[in-house]
Amino acid sequence: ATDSASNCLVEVRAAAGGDEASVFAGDLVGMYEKFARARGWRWTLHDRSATDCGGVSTAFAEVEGPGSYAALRFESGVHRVQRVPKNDVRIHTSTASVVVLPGADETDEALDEGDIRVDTFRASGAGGQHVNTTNSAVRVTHLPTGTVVSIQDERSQHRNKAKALELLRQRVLGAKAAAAAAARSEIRGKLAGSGERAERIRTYNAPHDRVTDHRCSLTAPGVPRVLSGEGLEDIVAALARMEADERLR
Amino acid sequence: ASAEWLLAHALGGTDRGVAARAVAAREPLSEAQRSTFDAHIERRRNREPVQYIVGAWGFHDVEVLVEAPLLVPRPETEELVDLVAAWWGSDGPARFADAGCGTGCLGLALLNALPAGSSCVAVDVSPKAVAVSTANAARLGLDGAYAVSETPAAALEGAFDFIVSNPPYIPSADLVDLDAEVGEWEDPGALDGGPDGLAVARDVLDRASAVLVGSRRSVWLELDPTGPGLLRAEGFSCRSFDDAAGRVRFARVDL
Repeated sequence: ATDSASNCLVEVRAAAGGDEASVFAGDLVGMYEKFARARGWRWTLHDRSATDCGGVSTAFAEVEGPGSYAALRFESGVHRVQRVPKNDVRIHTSTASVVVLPGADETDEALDEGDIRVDTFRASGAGGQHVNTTNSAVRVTHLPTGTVVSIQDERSQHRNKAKALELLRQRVLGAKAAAAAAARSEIRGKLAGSGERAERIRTYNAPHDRVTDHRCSLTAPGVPRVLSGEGLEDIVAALARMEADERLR
Repeated sequence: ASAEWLLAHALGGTDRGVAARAVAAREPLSEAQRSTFDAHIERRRNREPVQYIVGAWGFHDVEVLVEAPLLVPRPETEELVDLVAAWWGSDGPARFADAGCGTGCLGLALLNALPAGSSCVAVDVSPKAVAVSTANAARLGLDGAYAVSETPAAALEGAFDFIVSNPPYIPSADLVDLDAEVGEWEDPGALDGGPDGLAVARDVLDRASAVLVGSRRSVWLELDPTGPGLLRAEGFSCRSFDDAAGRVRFARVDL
């Protein structure tokens, strides 16, 4: 079943709140990384666009390990933070959105080559021998779904392309699997998976130093403790219990 | 962007993400790392290509040592590897020649992609090219299937299913417009294709009938966008292919 997928893709995006939102998005990325590592899973950050103030506008990571999807799938939705930023006295509210998709195993289906467009970032001019370049970034687009992945970290274009195509396959198949699972009502009630992108699922309140998950109504003490991954464990456990209870009904 | 590659290298990594993550984590550099990075930046200020500073680069699915003034591998040439491997298919081993091999990147990446048992004879007029491509073949464990000699394309000897070549193809008149990284650091002999950019390609094509055997007898070339049209006008049976940026870049001339 999808729920037991042994890897998943985590995408974090700063939403409302400018710089503060991007700092928060960076905090969430850090939280998931620590959570994953503490569980002994492999964490690979693939695509991270930083902002000038040290935050993150979007980040995309792959988590590998048994139970990773089962634990992280509850993170899909909008996370809200309330805190006083460094150079201010008022409380700011900002949000970041998280999408967690089940990964696809290598034995799963491949995408149709004809559905994929490959673009390279190349300057104008004759190219080839005329130019020395270290940029062999590749962007791949799955035309039917509009999914895009761009990879630039490898030195060879071939490897950037191979990585991009594999991640594209994972994202497209992952979205497909998550949608199918939601349609089958495997994830029911308040925990409606990644279909509910706009749903605000959790508030991190710094002045009161607590994190409240709005689905299971659990309030975990200590924002830093949650952001360190430790407090997240309690929240995930509560959500898993709640889902198990709902399934029994 | 150059700085990211140079920082990654100073930190001991080969992918750009190493640098981006270090910057994000605000990790301080050790003294040794700092001085390596500073030295790299000094060289880069002289417009020295990043690949020469790093000393090696990824090309297709292999890593090759890169040394001035040999031509730095281009991403376009990686696409030629895929075209040729797809065209040859998986039916059996290929015997091919790489004319003007430079660092050896094209022939070696192709050997890596073709069916097992394939072999490559490489030639280049530069003794440095012979030395570096020999070292690269050994480093990749392909030296048993790769033989290189200091020989001009016109004197290529052997029996091959096909020839592959990335000959110098820039028209002589265009050499003055090149960026400093190319014009001041790379071997003009690897860039200058004569008045129409096809001087060396013609040497390869003229020699082809003497060395090609079997049923596939073709010459695969990377060229300037004007190249395939000119070859067709000269009567060559030429099929052209675009690179990923949409420019006409490759030709397959069938004998």
